[in-house]
Amino acid sequence: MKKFLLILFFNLFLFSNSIADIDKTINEGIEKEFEDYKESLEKFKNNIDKLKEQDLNEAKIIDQSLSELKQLLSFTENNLDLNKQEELLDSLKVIDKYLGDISKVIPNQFSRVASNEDNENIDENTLKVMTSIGTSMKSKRAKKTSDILISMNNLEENGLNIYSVNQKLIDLDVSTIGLNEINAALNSKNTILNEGDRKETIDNLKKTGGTKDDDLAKIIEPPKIIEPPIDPLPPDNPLPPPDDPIVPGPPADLPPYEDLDPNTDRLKDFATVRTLQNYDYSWERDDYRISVGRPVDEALEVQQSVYDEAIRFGFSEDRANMLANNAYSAYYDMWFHGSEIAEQTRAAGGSWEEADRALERWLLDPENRYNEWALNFYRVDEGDEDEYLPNPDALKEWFSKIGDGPIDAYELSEDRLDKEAMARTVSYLTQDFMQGQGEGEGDPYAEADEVNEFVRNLALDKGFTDEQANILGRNAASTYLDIWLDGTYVMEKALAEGLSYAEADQAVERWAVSGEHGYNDWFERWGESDPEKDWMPDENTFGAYLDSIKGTTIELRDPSVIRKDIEVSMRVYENLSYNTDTLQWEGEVFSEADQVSQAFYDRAIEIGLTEEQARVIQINNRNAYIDTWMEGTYVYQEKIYEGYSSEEADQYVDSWFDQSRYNGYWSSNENNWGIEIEEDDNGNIRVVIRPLTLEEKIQLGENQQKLQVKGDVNIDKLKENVNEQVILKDEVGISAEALADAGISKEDFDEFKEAMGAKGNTISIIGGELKQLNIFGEVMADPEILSAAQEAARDAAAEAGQALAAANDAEAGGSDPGAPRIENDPTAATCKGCKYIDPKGD
Amino acid sequence: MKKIILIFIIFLIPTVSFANQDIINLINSKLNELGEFKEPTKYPKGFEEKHMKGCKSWTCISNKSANAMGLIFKRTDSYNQKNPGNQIYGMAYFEIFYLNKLKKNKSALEKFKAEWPKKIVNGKKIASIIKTNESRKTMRAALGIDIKASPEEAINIYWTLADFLQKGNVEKVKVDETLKKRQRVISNFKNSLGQLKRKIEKQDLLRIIEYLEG
Repeated sequence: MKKFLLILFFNLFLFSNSIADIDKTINEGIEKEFEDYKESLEKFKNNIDKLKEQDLNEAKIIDQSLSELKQLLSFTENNLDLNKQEELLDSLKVIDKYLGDISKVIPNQFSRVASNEDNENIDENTLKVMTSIGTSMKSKRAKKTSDILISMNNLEENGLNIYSVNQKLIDLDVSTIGLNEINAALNSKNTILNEGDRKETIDNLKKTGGTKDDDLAKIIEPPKIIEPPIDPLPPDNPLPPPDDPIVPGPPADLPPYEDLDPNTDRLKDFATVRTLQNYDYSWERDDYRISVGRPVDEALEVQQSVYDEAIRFGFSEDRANMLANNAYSAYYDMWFHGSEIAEQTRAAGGSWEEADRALERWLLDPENRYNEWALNFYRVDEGDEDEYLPNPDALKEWFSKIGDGPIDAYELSEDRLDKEAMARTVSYLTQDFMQGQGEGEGDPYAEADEVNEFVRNLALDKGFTDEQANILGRNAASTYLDIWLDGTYVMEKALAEGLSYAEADQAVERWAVSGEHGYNDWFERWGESDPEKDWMPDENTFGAYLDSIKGTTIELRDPSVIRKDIEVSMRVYENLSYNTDTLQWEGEVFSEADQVSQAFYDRAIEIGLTEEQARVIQINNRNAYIDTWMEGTYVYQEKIYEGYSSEEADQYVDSWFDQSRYNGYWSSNENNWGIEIEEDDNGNIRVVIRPLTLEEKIQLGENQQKLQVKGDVNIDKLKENVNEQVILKDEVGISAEALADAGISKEDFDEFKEAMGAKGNTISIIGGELKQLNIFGEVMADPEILSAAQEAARDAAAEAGQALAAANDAEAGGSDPGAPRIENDPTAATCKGCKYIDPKGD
Repeated sequence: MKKIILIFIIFLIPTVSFANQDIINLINSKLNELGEFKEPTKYPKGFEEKHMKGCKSWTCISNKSANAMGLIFKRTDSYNQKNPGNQIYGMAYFEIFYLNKLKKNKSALEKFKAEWPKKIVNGKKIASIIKTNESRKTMRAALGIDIKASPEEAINIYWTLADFLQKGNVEKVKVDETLKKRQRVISNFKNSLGQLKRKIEKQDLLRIIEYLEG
């Protein structure tokens, strides 16, 4: 027993002695380092003191920065103690960081400048590597900064004002631990700071006073990023299962989104309808049918203003009145057509700001007739945008130009008059007619029905067959409506020109006797009108006409082209309305268009397009849907109007669609974008979004990229709402799902994206299976990418150097070269650019 | 005497065994990180063109890599500034260097593992491998390469990045002599500071090395 205990004691003692020896050896090594460091620090301080003051800005920055480190350097010196290693290490870490940052003020003596060609011809493997390095670099930096912040906090606890030093270095333009870095460290997923460290950091930041409250607030409460759900789907449109056998496989070559020019007639019609909605034509005053509404009020004020200024300028009352009347009409027309321009932009999906810009461009266009009037009334870039009253100085200039010269009467816009006349006519037709509401204000359709009945009975009396009588009755009613419409149009146009009812009636009479309308025969058949019912034909004259056609083929007469168009259009527009509260068109077609175009938008985002690109596609698609619906509905309603059944009308619509430009557009885009628009038996549409395979996403993304390369893209055209809408040349992003598939977290990716530089830089997954990452050529040309990679390489090289040094330190004296020492390098003696290696190892 | 010994034993045994266990655990974790030798099946194209013409065997490839690496890591800062890819190529070679070290010490490592922790066999060689691996880890970490990534992957990343950094033409930037002087002052002190910092930070590694080397 005694022997055993002795052996045990002996062994344990030796063992413990061995551990103690190791620690002793290590401590001796550290103490030796203390001495070396102390010596080096003294040298460093002396060297700093010896540095001569320089005019060079960088030198000044360095000198001042180094002098800021004095307190910290002294702290290290005072803590060169084995029992104070933690404090010492904290200070060494911070000084090391600051010295590195201060060194960066000095430019590298050599740099490599890659040509655009170099940067653009980078293969996928390189892009993948660069991306992965950048991603990890970002998170590594956050960790490093976190580590430094912990040390800084510890130093603050030890009485050092290290955050103030940090702020001073920042103020000196040394790129060190700034708010962005702190924010990244505090709020990154990879942070190593606990809540206590975080609070301490923020408290210390506050103490320095160098941080703005707003900036601090951003760090403390960073904006929360709400991740949109991937492939958001309307709840009633569930995705088909991915392995749905009816879902076709991915096309071999997926073309990009094919855009479609919007139907400009439709856009103009919408714009004109919207413009006309600003007027009320139902008011009468002093035997005039007057227009009422904001534009009229404004025109009247402009008129008064011009009159007053003209009088002030010295014009006679007559001349002032002429000028004022011209101004009224010019303003009225200018407002009308300007509104159409803005509303066209809106009708195509543009914003109000875009509409305003379009209006401004139109007004400033010297080719535009109203440009001259705008300059007569206003000073460019002067006054409030919404100010419509003329600028007195501008008016004076205009008046000066006129001087004593003749003042021509303003020529009203024929286009405006036509539209207004038609609007007034339609307005009249679509009113809710009341029985006996006024002389000459009856319901023309009711009157036409009466004509139909009268003629049909007369024809039956004359011995026509029932079928013939029906046709004859309908022909008479239809002709009555044609005449009514054309005559009313003439009258309303006269009223729109500002003429009185009497003058308008005269205009109608002139039109009637002119014979240019083609109704002379019908007027004769109508004969003398009944004073009580002036729409009814005379029994004798019409009876004579019927007698004259007996035995001939009785055919149905077509309505006039204009009336047919108006009546069919009225049916098409029946369910469309403009909500003046939301300033949006409403109706089933618009909500369907929203649903479909949203699917395209979502898909665009999914395949990596930017929000703006996706919006362009969404707008283009929405317009395409509305155009398809409008034109298709017109075909349908036209056939119904012509007397076909709804089934027959549907067939006509199908036939039209097959031949139309929309066929190619929808089949191509639906197929290639994996979106199906189905219509059920009740006419309700259902949008089915087929999940894309990763290959398809990649392919689609690449195709968008090709579009960029081609450069056949132009957002401005869309914004101007002219015919062409094409895909925006911009950036391409990447969906969270695709990233997840490639094994990259969205956060890492976003961090990398942010780290990689300016807004607009993007990354995408491309090619191959599912892991290839890509930075677009344009982005690659960005020097920030290159410098980021170079910086990573420098860090890596520095760390590699440290690693080698550490290995060598540990290796010293060892027989096996753990670190890569090449003792027998044959080229060492002649190595150009090799380090001079001191044999003593210093 | 008996009593004293007993008291000594009671107090000493746990202390010694804990200290011992700490180092054993540390060494175990380091051993797990070493990996095994497996000859790479593919190399970057540039690497093949440079080193593998008429040189297909592992011995030839690893020797050439070691020579190239030795040269690279001896280059001056100025050279490295002109050739930003230089040290990154060096890291690619380092992977091969390490692999070769694993190959050369395969048998020593097996023997060590067979006896460990009861007995330390080939301690110096194992310490050397661990040190080399620590350097490899640092290099990989600097570029975010996972230590578990295959050598092929790591070599590809290093080589690709180095190629990228070597693109374009070198442009000399005139740097004022006063700035160069400041650069030297800062660098010299930074190196000295770094040495102390590393010494303090790497005490565990030093302890392992000392322990293994006896």
